[in-house]
Amino acid sequence: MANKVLEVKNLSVGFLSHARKVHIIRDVSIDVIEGETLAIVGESGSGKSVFTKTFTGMLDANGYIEGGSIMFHGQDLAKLTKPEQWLGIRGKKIATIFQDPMTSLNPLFSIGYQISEVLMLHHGLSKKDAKDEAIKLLKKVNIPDAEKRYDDYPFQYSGGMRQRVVIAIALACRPEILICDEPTTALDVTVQAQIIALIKELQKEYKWTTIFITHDLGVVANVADRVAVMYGGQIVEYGTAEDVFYEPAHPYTWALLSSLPQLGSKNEPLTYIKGNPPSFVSEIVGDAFAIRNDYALRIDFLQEPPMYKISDTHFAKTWLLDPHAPKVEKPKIIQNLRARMKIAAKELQREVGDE
Amino acid sequence: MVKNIDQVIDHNYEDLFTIVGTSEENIEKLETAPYSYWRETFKQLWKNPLAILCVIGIIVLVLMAIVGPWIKQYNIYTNGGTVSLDEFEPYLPPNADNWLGTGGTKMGYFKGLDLWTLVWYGTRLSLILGTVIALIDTFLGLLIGSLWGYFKWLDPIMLELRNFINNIPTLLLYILLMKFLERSFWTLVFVMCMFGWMGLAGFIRNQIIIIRNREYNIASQTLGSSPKAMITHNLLPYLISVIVTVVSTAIPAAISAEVGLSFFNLSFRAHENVTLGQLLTAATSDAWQTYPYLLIAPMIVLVPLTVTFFYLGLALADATDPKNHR
Amino acid sequence: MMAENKEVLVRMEDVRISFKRGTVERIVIDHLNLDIFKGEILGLVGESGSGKTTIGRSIIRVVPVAKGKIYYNGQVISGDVEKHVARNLKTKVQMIFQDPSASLNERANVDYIVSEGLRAFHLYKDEAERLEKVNDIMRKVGLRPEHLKRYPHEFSGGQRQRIGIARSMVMQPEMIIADEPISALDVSIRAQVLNLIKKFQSENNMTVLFIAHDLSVVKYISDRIAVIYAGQLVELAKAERLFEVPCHPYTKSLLSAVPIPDPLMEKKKKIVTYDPSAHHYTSEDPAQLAEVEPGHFVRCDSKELAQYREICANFHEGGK
Repeated sequence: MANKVLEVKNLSVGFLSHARKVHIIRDVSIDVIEGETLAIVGESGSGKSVFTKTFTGMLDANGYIEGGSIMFHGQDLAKLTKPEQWLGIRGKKIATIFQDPMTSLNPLFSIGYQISEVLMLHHGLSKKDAKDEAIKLLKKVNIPDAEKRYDDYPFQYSGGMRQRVVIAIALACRPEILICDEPTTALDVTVQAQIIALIKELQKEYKWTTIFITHDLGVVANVADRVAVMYGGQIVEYGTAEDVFYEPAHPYTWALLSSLPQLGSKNEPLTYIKGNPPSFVSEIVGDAFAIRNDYALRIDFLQEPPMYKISDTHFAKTWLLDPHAPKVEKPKIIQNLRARMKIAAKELQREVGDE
Repeated sequence: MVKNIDQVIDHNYEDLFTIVGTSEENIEKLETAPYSYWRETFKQLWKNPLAILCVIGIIVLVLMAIVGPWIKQYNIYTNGGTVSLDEFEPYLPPNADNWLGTGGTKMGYFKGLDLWTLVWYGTRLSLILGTVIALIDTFLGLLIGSLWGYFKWLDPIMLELRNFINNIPTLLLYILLMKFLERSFWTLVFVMCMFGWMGLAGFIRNQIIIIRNREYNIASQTLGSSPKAMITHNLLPYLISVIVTVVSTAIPAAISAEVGLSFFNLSFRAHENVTLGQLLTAATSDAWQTYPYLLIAPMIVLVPLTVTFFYLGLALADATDPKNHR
Repeated sequence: MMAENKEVLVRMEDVRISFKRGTVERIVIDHLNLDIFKGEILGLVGESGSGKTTIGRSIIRVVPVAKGKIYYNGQVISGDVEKHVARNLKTKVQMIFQDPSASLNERANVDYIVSEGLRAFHLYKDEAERLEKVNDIMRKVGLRPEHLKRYPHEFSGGQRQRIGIARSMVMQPEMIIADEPISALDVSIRAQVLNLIKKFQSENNMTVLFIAHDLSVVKYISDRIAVIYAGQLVELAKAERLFEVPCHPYTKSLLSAVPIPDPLMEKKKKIVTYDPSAHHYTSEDPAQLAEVEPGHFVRCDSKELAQYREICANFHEGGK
């Protein structure tokens, strides 16, 4: 039985917006297994960032945990309220890499110093030892000429390089869990591939657990062992990567997969998800995705569906899995996903193995 | 299984589990109420108790300026000899007849006159003068500043002009001018507005330089928008916060400037027009240490006036900032 | 650079674009030669800093050209031109911007934003006609008339981008420069914007310069694709051909970076990084844009040219 490093149960998070309570995360439960990479997929506004911010106590000032628990080594992180309580956890045991490398680094200090600072703070290293270790870390993230680069400032670097520095800082702490909040969304596709490869490589070496947030299924396919799909502040489907890609059960997952550009053929319009993500302004009744769902049932507008078990690893929160529901097939475009992807890969000159 | 039976009482399982799909109409609907910039601004302002206090304070002061002298109906002007002055004993402390006391012997024209009447006449003129100057300075500052910021070729010219103006010994210039000009309302306005607009103009120019290369402005350029449209729709609306702050502090600033001019005897002639500056100057040249009410009289207006406008300016700056809206 | 008997709409001739910071001049684009044909969708792919955005902006005169010329329909539009030429250009060429939150005026309502170009050029005879045009374009991009009174921040990213498209399309331009129009959007709604661009293009026979950094998107929408690296055109070919026989190593590295959403395949992906020093260009045998096969151009020296020609010929015969 694999070890669970993080157990989230019935977590609910709200925000106070102009004297009104807005419920963003609504009754979410999931376990994170030690050593795995869990991808959390969803559109902007699905609540994925808010969800992971609760693991490091970094909710905005007007955010608060309404209920539920986050068990980490026997301690309930949801109950921690004071900044002092987070000292040994945030940055040290659970570290985060954010999306925008331009603002993640302090422009006034050299990149080397920002790494050393963490080492001195969390590991009590001396200035000299910290510098040596920082240079080693810069080398680890493939920054060339690390000794000379120690004194460089962030403004001298491109987005991809800065993100490497950010990874080095996170690495310095030897965290148990690394949360990557859309770390490659702001980067070019080539740099994106390199950064993801770097994170995977380091994970193999340092054996931490990665929680990877993204809206790009291509990235998910690359990194994830397990996938959790989020919509409207809830996890609507989760399972292993193969479960979710090859046997998706929730209409939202179907919609996400259908809208991949790789599936498009030149002479037909591409599929996309109509409408916009929920704005949480009004109370959500029933299934949040119903209004954009081609397969919405009448009950979706009335009552929130429970989480149905598909297999030991695969769960989905949709009325379509209810015994009363009509049998609905996945959209044609994502049936035989494997075959279609093989074709797409061939077109991209990719070597396609036999699976 | 369906849990909440009440909600589904009108339906049965077959009906509940039929596919209804999406509705084209609902899909692009916006869930929030329409946003209106000014409505939100006033809402924010109203939430601020200090701001409300300031507004009330200003209203009270203005009302008193209008109504104050009428209460006692004392004459402080002779209107060219047609009316006689209501004179009292000088240095009288506040009493039933003279709520703020009377002027001292060294206060020139104000000797023996009722301070209450003087103060409110003075407030009237100071407020009007201050407001007119503030409005003219603001208008000129906005106009020139916008053009200066928008048209890059104006920059070197205007920077030289600003240097030039900043190096002029304004006090000497005022003294010189007031020697030759009559002390009337509009000459005073003219003198005080001569260079006052430059501050705001420079500030606006800086703000425009900051925002003029933002992507929405480049987009407007590619759409062919005229400079006038760019300035009025793309640039100035972003500066409302800034403009509003400056205008609200410009009024007390103009009033204070007039006080300064009074000290150098460059303001109105006291027997024709009373301003708060005149009263303040006169009080300081008399024995206000012995008779503090001489100084207190103009201060009971000047201090609240300056403070309320200042705080109102701050409150407006916050309220007009869209980051504080909904 | 003629491929078939298609009419050239935009010709860029030996263009150099540079930026001055104080006394330092940074050359972004140099010796660029590019033709854009009428009615085609040309994809322009490259990384950040490659100069692709600058190329687009130089065509609509937002960025000045240091050397060389740009022609539109045979007329010079770069450098110092007469006022009416510059103004006229704006009615013909419009731009769609990358960032939907930065490219819309937050203080103007949607009606004003969409009508901005119409107003600037008086493209309507009365208020009724203007409103009709605006309502029509809003409907076409999938938005509703009641949205006209609203402000940009009340909309989602995808809706804002469609507002941006509406304001350019309402001008009925001959050419659209789409500067990474979908990079800032979630993958699930990108297709809506792509479909719109394609639809407008086919309905009005518009020419589109589609700037992007993601090859998979560009493949779907483009007729031809141009690949840019460090301010230089390195490969130009018909879209299908580029994917069949990519010649330049940079193009190959771009291809290897495109994510394939298939867990079993993607995890085994090997990234190919482009190493510019792997070429060994000399002054006797310099690199230039050469025609490897009809319509397919690659930047190479004579040695590489020979190699590429062979690869292309082999592929034609069904080899590989």
